[in-house]
Amino acid sequence: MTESTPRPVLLQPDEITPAVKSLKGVLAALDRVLLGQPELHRMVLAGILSRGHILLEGMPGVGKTALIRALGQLMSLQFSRVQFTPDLMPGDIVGSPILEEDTHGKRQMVFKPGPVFTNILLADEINRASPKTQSAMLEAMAERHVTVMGETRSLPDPFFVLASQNPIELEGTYPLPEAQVDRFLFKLNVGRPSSDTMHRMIDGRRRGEAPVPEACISAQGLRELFDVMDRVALPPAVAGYIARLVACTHADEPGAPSMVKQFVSYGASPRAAIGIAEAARAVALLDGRPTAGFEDVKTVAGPVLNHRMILNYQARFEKITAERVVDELLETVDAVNTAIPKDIEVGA
Amino acid sequence: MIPKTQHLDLSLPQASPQAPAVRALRASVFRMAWLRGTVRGAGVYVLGWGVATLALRAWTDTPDDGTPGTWIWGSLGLLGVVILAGWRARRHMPDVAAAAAMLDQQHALGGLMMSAPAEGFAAWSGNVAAVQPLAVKWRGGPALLALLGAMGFLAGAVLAPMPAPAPHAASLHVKRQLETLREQVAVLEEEEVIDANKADDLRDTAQRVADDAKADDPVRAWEALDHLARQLEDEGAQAQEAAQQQSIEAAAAATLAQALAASLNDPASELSEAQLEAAVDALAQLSAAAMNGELPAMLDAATAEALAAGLDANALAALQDMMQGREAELADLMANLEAAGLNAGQAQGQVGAGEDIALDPDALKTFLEGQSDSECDGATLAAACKAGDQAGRGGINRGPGHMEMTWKDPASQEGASFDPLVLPPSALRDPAQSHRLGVSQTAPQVEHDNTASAGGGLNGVESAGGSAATTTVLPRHRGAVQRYFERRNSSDNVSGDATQAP
Repeated sequence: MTESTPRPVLLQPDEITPAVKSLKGVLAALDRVLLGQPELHRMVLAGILSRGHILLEGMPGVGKTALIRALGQLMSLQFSRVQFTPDLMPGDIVGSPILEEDTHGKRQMVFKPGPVFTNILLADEINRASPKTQSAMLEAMAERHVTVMGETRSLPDPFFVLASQNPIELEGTYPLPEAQVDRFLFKLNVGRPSSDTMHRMIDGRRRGEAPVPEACISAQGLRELFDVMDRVALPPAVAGYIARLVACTHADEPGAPSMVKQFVSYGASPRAAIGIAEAARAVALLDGRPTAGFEDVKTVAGPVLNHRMILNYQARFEKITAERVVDELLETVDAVNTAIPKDIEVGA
Repeated sequence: MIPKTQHLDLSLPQASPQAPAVRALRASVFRMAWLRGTVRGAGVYVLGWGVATLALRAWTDTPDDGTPGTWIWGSLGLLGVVILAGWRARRHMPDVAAAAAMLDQQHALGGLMMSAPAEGFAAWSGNVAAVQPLAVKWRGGPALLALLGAMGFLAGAVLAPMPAPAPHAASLHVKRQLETLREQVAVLEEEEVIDANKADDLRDTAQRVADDAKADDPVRAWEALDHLARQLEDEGAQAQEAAQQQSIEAAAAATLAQALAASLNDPASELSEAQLEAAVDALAQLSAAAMNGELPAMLDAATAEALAAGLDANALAALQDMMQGREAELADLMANLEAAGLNAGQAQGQVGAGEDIALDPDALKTFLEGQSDSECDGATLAAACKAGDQAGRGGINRGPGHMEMTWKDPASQEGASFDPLVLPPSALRDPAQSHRLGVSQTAPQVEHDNTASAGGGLNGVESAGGSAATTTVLPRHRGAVQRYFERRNSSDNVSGDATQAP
């Protein structure tokens, strides 16, 4: 007996329009706070809609912390900021039990939640903490709960980790282990603004202080956005494209491009495929579409894959970056898997 | 609760607004794949057709291939190629979902094209209403060129004139050479140079070579005939050589008999017993050799003794006649061989008859009488009789010839003379004019103040000082140096002895 698949129902325009309006408002507010980074804001919002954690990498002073702080303010979410240092201990993040005396003079151990018990956790310069402290974030990021003294406590919903790391000043840092890097949905590079942007920044702002954004979306509104995004359809052909794309990040895959076979030691995990699918649907929602398409996959493939592929030493020697490998992947892997011969071209 | 991902059934309804574009795309891909398969398959087929036609024409010796049956069957095969290409093109045709995905991708529709069957699509249909069919192109230039080349090859294979079949190889005309070989074999058999069996074998071989001689491979036949001719010439040369030798020996025997007869008739001549025995012995050897090992009856052992005791002039005359007859037989044999062309390696008339090189009887008589009894024996006398005073025949095993050296076209000294040039006197005294004052018992003293040469033939020789050369004599040179001085010493002794002799 086969289970009958219910006929899918596409989101209707009147369902999408309010969601898109809210999201556009958030984006506009972010663009006002952090000038000249619209694509970055769009990807950050896509990551939030995908309920994924985001790792921001960029030079000091480009606005990583300001962006995350503004995001928390815009969404009326609880926000915590932890400056990671080498002497930071796991208890400083997840919390620890302390001895308290009540009004009756009775003493008892009371759990004091750490900054991880929040909706948005800004982990600033996460690569400066010791591996022991970094590993304390693993459970929180993957399972959204923490275990202290044998007792598991759930984190607030939603829960995001928006981490930043500095690509320079590598002395005294601890590179994130692959297991933890894999838990970040996106790794976004925050580039420096253009001269025009900096001109606007110093011309229109006193001491460069960004305007304080007003809350656009409440926690309840964000949950409704999540509900809308869950109804964004993912066509099978797009899902197949994602699967082939991720599979081709492995050098032993028959259809892997030559650059992957030459420079990639370990490819992306299935979590990357899940992340691409979710992020593609988020991007489709941001565009006001009820379905995710191939171009959405190509939009998010770079931020999802570039920190999940481990390149070999030859790539380091030849200065091959993961971004170049992803570009090669997107050019090589056919979006639609057909039996049409290669010498027959189908184009608009 | 985590919602499940929505799956879309992409079996596009025929009435959907996107169906025409999808159908058009599928049809375009099918047509292009069909064309591709047809061109590629036809290229291979036509090439095979041309090869088969060419092979068939060459195999069956058909000068032209204008039969319509070939074209009909070939065209039917081409039709099969077209049908097969159409069948294969269906496999390349994308299904409805893939075609919709391709349209979606090319027009950047964000998945809407693939979601047409989903419920609620009507609200979004306006976004995909204006979708245009995709253009389908085939990069078939190389395949088309290959097809054109194959067609050209087929045309050439069908229309190119085939050369007429080569006639069967005719027999080679070797009759004249065969007759010559038969005649030579007959001469050799008649002169008993070869026996009958060998003659028959040679005739059979010659006949077989003549039978197998074909015009398409003349070299092989000529080589076989030349080999046979050389074989016969070798036989003839050997026979001629033997005949010439026997002729010399017969002439020597006749001359010796004549000399003996003259000695018997000469009262002043008295041959000693040893001389007579040696003469009879030499006569027996020469006669036996001339008669091919068969000693004449008058010179068997008993007769020889009697002959030695009292030589009979009649017997000697008979022997002389016999030898002369033998000499004539051998001359005829050599003449026959030469007439048959079996004188390989011998210039015609080069070898004279035996009598031309024999000693004069009187000289032989004088030589015989001059022999002392102790040095006289038959073998020496026989050799002397055969040698005569003619020139030797040369050869590396027979010593140098005694012919006089003759000079032809004497050279002129004009233009070859050199102007005399007086050279300045040598700064050094000629070592040949030096005098040995004595031989030291110890090694010469070396003056180290002088600089010695460091290389070449003067290695170790100092530039001044007048002392003896101190060149180091290597062990392998010591023998030569020793022999040199021994020779000088022995010559000195000889000359000294000669001067001391009275």
